[in-house]
This record gives sequence, structure tokens and C-alpha cells, in this order.
Amino acid sequence: MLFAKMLTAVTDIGHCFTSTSTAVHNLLNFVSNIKLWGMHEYWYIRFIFYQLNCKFMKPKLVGLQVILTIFTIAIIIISVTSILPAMTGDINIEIPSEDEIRWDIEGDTLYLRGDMWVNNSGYYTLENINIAVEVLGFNRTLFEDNIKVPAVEREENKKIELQLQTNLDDFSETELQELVFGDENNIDLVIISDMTANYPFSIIGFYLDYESVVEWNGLIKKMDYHEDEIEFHEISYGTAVSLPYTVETSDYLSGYSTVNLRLLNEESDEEYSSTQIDIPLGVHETNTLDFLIEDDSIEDFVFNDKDLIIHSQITFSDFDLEFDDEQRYTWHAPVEELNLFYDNAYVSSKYVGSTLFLPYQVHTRDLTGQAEVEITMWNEDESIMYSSDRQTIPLGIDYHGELSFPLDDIDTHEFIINSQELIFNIDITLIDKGIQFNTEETYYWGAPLNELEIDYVSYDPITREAEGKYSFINDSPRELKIELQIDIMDENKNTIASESLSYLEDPKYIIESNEEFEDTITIEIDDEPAYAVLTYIDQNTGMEYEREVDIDEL
Amino acid sequence: MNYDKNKIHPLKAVLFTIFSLILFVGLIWFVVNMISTEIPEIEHVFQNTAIYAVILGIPLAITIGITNYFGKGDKNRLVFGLISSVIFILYFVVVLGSINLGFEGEDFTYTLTITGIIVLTVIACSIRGAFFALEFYTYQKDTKTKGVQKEEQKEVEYY
Repeated sequence: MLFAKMLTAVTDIGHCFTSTSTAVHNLLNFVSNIKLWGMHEYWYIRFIFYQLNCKFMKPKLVGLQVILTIFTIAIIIISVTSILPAMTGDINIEIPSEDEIRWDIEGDTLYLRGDMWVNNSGYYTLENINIAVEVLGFNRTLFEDNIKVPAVEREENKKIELQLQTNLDDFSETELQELVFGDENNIDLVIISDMTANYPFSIIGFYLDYESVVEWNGLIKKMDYHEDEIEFHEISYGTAVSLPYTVETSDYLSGYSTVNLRLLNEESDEEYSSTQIDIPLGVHETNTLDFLIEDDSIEDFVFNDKDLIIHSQITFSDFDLEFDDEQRYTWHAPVEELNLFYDNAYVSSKYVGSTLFLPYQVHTRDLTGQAEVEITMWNEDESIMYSSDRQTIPLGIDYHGELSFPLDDIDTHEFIINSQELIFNIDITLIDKGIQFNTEETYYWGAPLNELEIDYVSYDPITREAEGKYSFINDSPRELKIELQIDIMDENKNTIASESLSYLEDPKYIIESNEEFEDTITIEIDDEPAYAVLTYIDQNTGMEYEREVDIDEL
Repeated sequence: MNYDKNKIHPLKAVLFTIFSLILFVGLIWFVVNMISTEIPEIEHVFQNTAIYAVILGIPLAITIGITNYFGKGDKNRLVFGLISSVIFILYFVVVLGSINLGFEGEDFTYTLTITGIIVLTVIACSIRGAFFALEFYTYQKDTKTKGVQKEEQKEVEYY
């Protein structure tokens, strides 16, 4: 019995301390219990004690239930308010767009700068924010950095200044080239931002991965030459090949680009001209390159097609980068054809005086307007100017004409009986373009009666016959149809006998080109002859040549 | 004071079982399937959630039902109350853990980890388990008090 009571008392102690708020009360009860051991009141008081105890415990149970309910509701509220903003995009980061990125080159370092924004429109503060930024290009990582932000309060849009850098020495030559000039397919730089963050007490953890693509078009996006608008003309300080161009540069960097240009012959590497232009970065402009052509190269550009190279050396004012570029262009000469048909040249006496006629043909490409052509004809050593002609020729069409060089008698005789080198000095002015240039042509003139010799002209009084022998070489490129008129004159210049010989009656007087001709003529005379006059006429060209020879009496 | 240690509540057990099945199995299944049908883009969020809710929700509902079958102060109520609390913990850990809170947009992806929420639910379930222990001790004293009262009555009668 006593043991049972003691055990009960110990149990009471244990039960008493289940509630700290009634500990003292229970202790007193325990003391009372000890006092009341063996007394029936003990049981009654114990009964009271448990009643009271239970009365305190029940509310606590209820309280615990309430706490549990409230806790559950709180978890639901926290879950919804934590997850919903993320699901609806109220928590996000903004990466700088292509227009917001600033590029700089300082020394050997390329900087990428911009502003990132961490937007927290959720209900709680974002903590322990870590943003890993990586920029990919050329199939590798160009820039990377780690940014730590302690916290972003609720309803706050926090700006983070982004500065990434990379060494230009890490770029290959090809990559630098593409950085400056871009690529035909454009270079895509991929900016990847990985953000990790959490709510207080790590209730919710966030991992956001943003990726954006920035197009890099190159510092010099475009440099196009308008080859179809190329001009060859006179400008204020000379004759120039003018080539319009369009250049578009990006404003990634500041300053300007200096382009040194050279115009070269692809085959011979000869440099015709050079020029320089300064292009501010960030502009789109159309302008014209003027390559001044030296006087002695103008003829080459007028008459000859050629393959040209436009070599560019590009440098930048604000940073140390230099590049070379080459563009090829086929130059089509404005004068496609200029032919002087020397083989068809001839001296004619059909008109007043003698004239050397020189047919020609000219065809120009894409030129309009007129050209003035002045040609002077010189002897071989240019000591004698025989004649000149000036003509105005329409351009842009296939034109055939004939140059005419009036000759005096002496010159006419010279041209008929003496083959020689002729020099044609040609001055051409393209009137609309204002371009003037000079060219020279040399031609071997074959005289139709080259080395004409009239020999053994004599008169036999017994037979009363005059006889003479003549020979020449037809050095001209065409056949001669000779009509020869021989007049025998007396001392008083009276005609005492005549003879006409024609190719119509005797085909031997048709003399082929380069043929040597020899003939002996006998004429009966009644009177005393003094001299003979031989007149050669070429029916093909109208050439007429007269010579007097004395007749010796045998 | 209510004393119901030896009382059983079959109707209450059935009601709690049905309610638990509806709440922890049926509702989850319905919501997940509705979302997957209406918004296919986020179907991946609840990939196996419904299955886990069924696998763990059924025993959970049964243990809740059994717990409420017994009266307060009953040892069986304590035991099944603790078991249901453990299953509750398992339920929330597995079902919440199966939710793939991630979203992929045109140029972004994000993923949420809800470890903190899971920890809070575990704490809540643990409190629930402690509640049953406290309830058992409370109503067991009540039982003993009733026993004391009977003995006291006997003593009074004896004396």
C-alpha cells in the first residue's frame, strides 16, 4: 500500500511537470499528498489535482490544434505567395539589349558594359543573389563574371552595373577581322545569365537562366563600292577615276576610322593612285572616292580594260587595330574600239588639192556626248608636220569616219613616190567628261609609185620615135589601176604627140600590191620633142601624179 | 469531462477516411489532370505527382480513418495517429518533391526549389504527431482520474 502510494506520488511528480505553468501548484499538491498519506483526503485531493490538471491540459490541446491549423494555413500562404510571383514572371532579370551595351577598347582590353536589372515584384526579399554572366562567341567563352548581390527588397527593381572584359590578344587574326568587319552571316554573341537566389530562411530557392543573343555586325558593317556608277572624268585637280561608295559603321566604339586606299593593277601591281578617307564610327554615309590618274596613265585607262585592286588599310583613331582589305574590280575602258584602217588609207586628187584619207572606226562603251579628235601627221623623225585634221565624233555608238589630211604638191609627190614611216599624234578630248589625253600611232606608209624611175627617155630622129622606160614598186596595200597619159611637148610647150595607156585596154596596168612594175613606151613624133609629161592616175583612189622628163636626142 | 477511451467511432472513421481520400487523393488527381489538360505547357510540372498522391494518399486516408475510429486516450489512437503523421511526412515530402517547378520560355528558364516549404510541412506533421501523444497522455490521466474516482467511491463506501 505504501509502495503503491509512493509510486503514485512519483507518477504525480512526472505528470506535474508536463505543465510548467502549474508546476508550483503541483509541487504544493505533492507536498500535501505526502502530508496526507494514509488519509482518505489524499485520494480526494489527488482527484482534485487531476481534475485541475486536466482542465489546464485540455485548453492546451485545443491551443495546439489551433496552432497547428494556423501553421498549416501559414504554410499554404507562404507557398502560394512564394511560388506565384516566380510562375508569373514577377521575379526576373533583365539583360542589357544590343542597344544598351557599350563597348570600349582601352589598350589591349575589350570592355563590355551595360546595366542589368533584378526585378523583385514578389512578396518577400530576395537574398543571396548570385549572377553568373557568360558571353559566348566564336564557339568559345569571350567574357565571364560572377556578381553577388546581398539582397533585393520586395517591390524593388535593382540596377546592377555589368562590366566584362577580355584581352584582345586572345582573339585570333580571323576573329579580329570578323570583329572589325563582321561576317556575312553576322556574328551572334550569346549572353547567358544564371541567377540563383532564395527567400529568407531558404523557404524557396530560385534558379533563373536567361539567354539573349546580341548581333555583332562589326565596327565597319558595310563598305560597298558602287562599281556600276564609276566615272572617269575631269575634276578640279585632274583626271580621276571616281568611285561612289556607301559605308556603314556601327557605334559600338567611339572615334573614327581612317582608310588609306590604293588603286592597283592586279596583274602588274602598278599603283595608279591613292587616296584617304576618314569615316566617323556610327554613321551611314555615301560618298565618292577620287583616284587621280596621272597624265601618262590616262590613255591606258581610256583604251584598255584591266583588272584593278582597291587595297584598303584601315586604322582606328581611339584604339590600336589595323586591318587590310582588298576588293577587286574589272575596269572596262570607255573606248572599246578605236581602229585606224591604215590599209585603206590613200592619197586622192579627186578633190581640190591632194588629200590623204584615213578611214577609222570608233566604238565607246557607256559614254555619251562627243569627243573632239585632232590628229597631226608627221614624218618619221617628227621634223616635218605634213598635215592635220580635226573631227568631232559622237560617243556611245559604233561610228565610222574618214580622216582627211590635205597635202600640198610637194607633200603629195612625196606620199606618191616615197614610202615612209608616218607618225600620227592624236589629241582626244571627251567633251562631256572634260578629259584630255594624247596618244601616238606610227604607221608605215607604202607609196603607190614607190621608187618611180623614168629612164632612157630619148628621141631617134631617124625613126622619129621617142622611147622611154619607167619602173616603180606598188608599195601600197591596194592594187593600182593605172591610166598613164604621156604628152610629148616641144620647146614652145606645145603638145606634139600623146599616148594614153589604160588598164582597161591592157590589164598589165593593173598592178597588185607589192608588185614591181616596169614598162617601156615608144611614141612616134613628127616634130622635135623637148620634154615629156607623164601623168599617172590611179582609178581606184583618184591619185594623180605628174612628172616632166627631158627627151634626149640620140 | 468526456471519457471515451473505450468508445469507438466507426462513423467518424468512415467520414474521415472518405474525406481524406477526397482531399489527399481525389482532389490532387483532379487538379493535376485538369491543369495538364488545360495548360499542356506546364504538364511537366506534375509528371508523377498524381501517382505518388495515390500511392501514399490511400494508406494515409486509411490510417487517418483508423486513428479516428478509436477514442481519445486509447493507445491504438496514439499508435495510428503517430503512423498517420509519419505517412503524412512521407506524403508531403514525396508529393511536393515530385512537383517540378520549372518553366522554360523563349529565352529563359527558371527552376524553383521548395525545400523550405517541405521542411515546414514536416514540422507541421511532427507537431501533429506530438499532438496525438499529448492527447493520449491527457485522456489517459482522465481515465486514471475516473479510476481514482471509482476507487474513492469504493473507499467511501468502504469507510
